[in-house]
Amino acid sequence: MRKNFILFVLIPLIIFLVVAWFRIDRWVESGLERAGEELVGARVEIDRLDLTFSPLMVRFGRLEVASTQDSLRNLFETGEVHYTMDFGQLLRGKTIVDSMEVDGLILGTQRSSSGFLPGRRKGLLEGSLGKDNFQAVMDRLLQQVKASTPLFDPALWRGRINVDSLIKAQNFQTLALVDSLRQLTASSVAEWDTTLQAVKAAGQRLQEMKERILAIHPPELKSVEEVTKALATIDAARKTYNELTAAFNERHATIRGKVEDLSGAVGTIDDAVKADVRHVLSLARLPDINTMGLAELLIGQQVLENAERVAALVDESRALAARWTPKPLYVYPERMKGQEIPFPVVRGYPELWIKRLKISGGSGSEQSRNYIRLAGMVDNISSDHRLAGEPMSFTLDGTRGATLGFGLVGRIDRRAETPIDHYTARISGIHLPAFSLGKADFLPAVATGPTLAADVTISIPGSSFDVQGDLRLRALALAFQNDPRNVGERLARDILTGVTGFDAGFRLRRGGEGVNAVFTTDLDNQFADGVRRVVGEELTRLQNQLKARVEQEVAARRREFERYFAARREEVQKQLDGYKSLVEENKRMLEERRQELEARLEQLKRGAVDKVMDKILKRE
Amino acid sequence: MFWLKLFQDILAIFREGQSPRQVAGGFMLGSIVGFSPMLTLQGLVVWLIILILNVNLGAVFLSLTVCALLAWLLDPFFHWLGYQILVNIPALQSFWTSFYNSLLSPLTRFNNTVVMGSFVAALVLALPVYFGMKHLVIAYRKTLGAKVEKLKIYQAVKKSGLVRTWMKIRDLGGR
Repeated sequence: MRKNFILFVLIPLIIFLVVAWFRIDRWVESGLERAGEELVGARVEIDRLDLTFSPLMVRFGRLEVASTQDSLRNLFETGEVHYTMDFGQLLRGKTIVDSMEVDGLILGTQRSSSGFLPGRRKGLLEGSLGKDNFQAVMDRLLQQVKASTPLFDPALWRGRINVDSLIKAQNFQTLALVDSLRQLTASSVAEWDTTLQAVKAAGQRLQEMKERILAIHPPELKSVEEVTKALATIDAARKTYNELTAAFNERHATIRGKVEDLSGAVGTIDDAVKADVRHVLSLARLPDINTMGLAELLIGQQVLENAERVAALVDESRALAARWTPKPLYVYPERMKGQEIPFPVVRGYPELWIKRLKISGGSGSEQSRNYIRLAGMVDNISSDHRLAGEPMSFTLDGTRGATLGFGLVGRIDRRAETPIDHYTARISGIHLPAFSLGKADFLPAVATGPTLAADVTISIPGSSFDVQGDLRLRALALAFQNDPRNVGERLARDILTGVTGFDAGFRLRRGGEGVNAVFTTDLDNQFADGVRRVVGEELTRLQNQLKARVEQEVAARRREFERYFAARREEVQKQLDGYKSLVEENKRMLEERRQELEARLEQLKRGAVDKVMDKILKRE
Repeated sequence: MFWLKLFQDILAIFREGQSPRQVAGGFMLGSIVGFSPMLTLQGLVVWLIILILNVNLGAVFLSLTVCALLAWLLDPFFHWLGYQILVNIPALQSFWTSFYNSLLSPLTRFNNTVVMGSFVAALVLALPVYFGMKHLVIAYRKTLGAKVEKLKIYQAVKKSGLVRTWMKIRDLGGR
């Protein structure tokens, strides 16, 4: 035996082992803290770690994991944590945890000291997601949806409802029609003048004829020859009269036809005005309000944020799962490295396998009611699902205060060739703080006192995904920050005034045919009713306003034309009426003179007969 | 310098100090540790034996150094030998399998071809090394030492200024 070895090696070694025995808890604690910080990228603190070897068990009184985003907030903290490990597998470098219990898991607790690491170095989980991660894809998708969804756009409203800019007289069909009618009337009047000149000449001939007829005095005619001659004059005048009457009737019909045409054309001014009103309304592009757009505008941001929170959760899960992918084995041995020969094993184990993790949120009333407590079960957290033979699954329930509750059920399966993730999240009783709705330049409003409940289901088979969500917002009260600045805002306000809650849903799906996104909400139905009511009234009001403006613009020109047209028509009518009365008078006079002449002729004939008879009788 | 020192240490080990069995034992245990390419449970056991038994530590380190160099050269042979033992001997498969599933097997790394090959080679060579070195030490002390010291190369090395300077420096420590 070597005395020096015993004195200088064996005894110091025993002393070292004794010291290690008492210090190993602290060393393991430090090691776990460093490993956790490396993983998370923020301060990880473990208190009162206790390590036992038979069975191999780790127990610690408290675990705090700081947030990487807020230096004075924890990502989570726990009460007592203890777990037992398989010592045999640990010798093989495999961490197999048979059961792990975490008491008093609380999210988002306050810290008394900064949780950031010196230099803010990033953890393995931070920034490990590529540009095609789920959250990035979803963000891009939602931006596309938002861009392509017709919104209740204030700019469109303002542009569309500017009445003054729409009323441009040069564009009015009515005014063009009035101008053309005026020209047509002017040319017609010129024709009428020609016709009236002819009528006037005919009137002159009628006047002369009248004078010649008046010059015939039947009682003064002494002989049959004179009467016969006068009758011939009357017949000639009658012939002339008939000719003039036919010409007059023809011209009168022409003029009357023209007048009627013009009058009919004037009647189309009303139609032109209506057309102009329709045109102006079409230029105004009065909103065919897409209520989906309005709903999306108002709640889209909320939906987006919730969806992104879920997406972030999915990404973190995937990042964790990615880290647990087994490393490939060396196939070709390097010099002095050799080749590991595998032998059949009674049971294959992955590098890490936590078979069951029980989490209890605890009932610590000393903690703030604002903290979130988690409780539930996570099964089969493993680095290789195939070796473990089980997929990872979890059922977590959380509460905050007496009203807020949420649940998360998930299953992450990496056993098959195509990885499959499935998550279902449920949350209820969220008393949302007052949040802004609308935009700074459109309907800035604050929603106060709403409570939110939501269900989200996510399926991610391979590179595809299918996300469905339902949001239920209740007890909503809207406080508008400004008076409505335009008709769009006024409309939206009128519609929203009666809305106290709504349901909304969304579905995002990426498959072989691309990405589809659908947003639905019963807010749309509520809006639709409101829109039908309010926008109907508004449209009527706007239509009337535009119609009045159009009519106002064309009215002066129309009145002027109508006065001109009426004056000319009256003038023509007057002249025609005068000529007509002259014709009638002449006709009447002609008939009278002819009757008188025929009576005189009869009288003269009877007188001659009597005279002959007297002579005859006197001779006998 | 290293080779000169090695040469002198070999001669010193052969010439003086502990018994031939201690020297031969040191060589044997040093060869087992030296052939092994990595730290294993069996290596630790051998080290414990070295530290407990009163073998010649100079012989251990000398053997370890020489065998480590040899192991690097013989690595392909150790890999082949270990592979044959682990894979191509059906009779041993059930033993290896049960040992593979035992608690301590991960610490032995027995399923590594180079570990297995070098360890078996070391065990096979252990007795020849032991007895060979024992006879060699005895022979050196009886006759061979005097013959070696008469060799011209030994004289040349011993008288060279460089070696004398080196020996003075070495002996400053009070050897």
